[in-house]
Amino acid sequence: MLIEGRVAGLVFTLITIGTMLYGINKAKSKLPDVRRIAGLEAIDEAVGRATEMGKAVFCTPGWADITTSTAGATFAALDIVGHVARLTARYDTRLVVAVSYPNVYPLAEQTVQQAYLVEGKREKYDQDMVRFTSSEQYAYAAAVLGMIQREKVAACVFVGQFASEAVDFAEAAVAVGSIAIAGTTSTYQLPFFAAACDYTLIGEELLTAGAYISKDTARLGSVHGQDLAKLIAFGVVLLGAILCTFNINVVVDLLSK
Amino acid sequence: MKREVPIVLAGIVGLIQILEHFFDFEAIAAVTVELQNWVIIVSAFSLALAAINLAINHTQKISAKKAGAFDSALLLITMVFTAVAGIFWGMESSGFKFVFNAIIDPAASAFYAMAAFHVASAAYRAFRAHNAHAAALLITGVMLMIAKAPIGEAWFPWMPTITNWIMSVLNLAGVRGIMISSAIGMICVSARILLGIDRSHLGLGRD
Repeated sequence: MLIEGRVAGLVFTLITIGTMLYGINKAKSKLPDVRRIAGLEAIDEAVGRATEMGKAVFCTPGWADITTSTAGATFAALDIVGHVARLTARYDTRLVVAVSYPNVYPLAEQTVQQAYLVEGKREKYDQDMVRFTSSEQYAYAAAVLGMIQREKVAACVFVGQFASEAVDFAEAAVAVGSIAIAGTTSTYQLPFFAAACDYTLIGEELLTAGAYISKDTARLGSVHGQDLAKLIAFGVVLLGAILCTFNINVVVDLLSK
Repeated sequence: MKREVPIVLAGIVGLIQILEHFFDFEAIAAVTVELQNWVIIVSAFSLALAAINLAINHTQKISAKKAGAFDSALLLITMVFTAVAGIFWGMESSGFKFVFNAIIDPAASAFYAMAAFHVASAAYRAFRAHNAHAAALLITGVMLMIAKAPIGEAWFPWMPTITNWIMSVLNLAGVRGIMISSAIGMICVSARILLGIDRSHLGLGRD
């Protein structure tokens, strides 16, 4: 039995998965073009700067668990952590990763360890690189601020889900003269990051980061499928707005089913 | 096997959770409750792993007499004290409550208050009209601040009407655009993981 009020959600979820699979299938014959994402390009520049200055790079996959609705953002953030770790391994730059939730810790550790292995720098991996802090919001925030201040890092990458600590992180990065790159899907924290950081990944830019960085055919194809789903959503919103203007609530009624 | 087992398990468990969200089946609901209990158990193991990492890192700092060794010692003492108070005296004991009421809560409040100063310094830098976008941000920001201040409405009675329109039309349209695209992105990321297309979090490549 379908739960009332969730039918439209199920239909749209299935449509999105369908467009994603279509995109993946299409990418096998023709790789889709993905627009340049300045925030992701800037990561290479930021790690390069830290290498030249002989300073560390700081990275955190946010304040969220993988057992909640924000898991997607945390997994996408871990992709970026892996990319940063590969760059720091390649250039022999010190890396510090702060993790907030216990469940994210083994994944972050595995991701960083794997990045050093892929770059052929297994011996350079240090257990001190990935540090568990606390799932208590301000304990995590205080730990991150302390790490940024003590290590005097040259590049900070804040990606994933954040709450009110976002602006503190961005300002701490500015205070030590570091390049700050942030990315989140939280619409409450985006303005703070946009105002205080050098580069910001807005919403879905964070979620497509893994595909953008890896250049993997299937993942790039899924981004194309994602865009098709967005087009459908845009069409529904536009149609609903036009019909509502003329007092016809068909779309609204369908979406509330 | 190292590749397939975690992917198949994630796929099955994810599918059950999705079915439970959309369908009203007693059997699936019962399995979901059981799985959610498993999450608590797995989380407890993760917590132990994370606590060991924390203890190792800070013990190394103390033994190497690195800068901040005192802070590390303080962290280890409070960590052990909190754990002992919670496990042996109980979560309602005065010792355990003391940690929250006298240390964590005041520190968190102080930290939250710091955000006001950080917002001010971030706004100072962002509100410099060095191009057209920044100028638009500056103008709308100042208008909103005036409208929200009690004296603003007295000076400019028409201001709240404009700022309400900015917030409920322009701002809300932008926010909803980001929310819809993020939601679609989340569905795709989750589907990629559950279908085994994306394996980077397992430390595995696609092949």
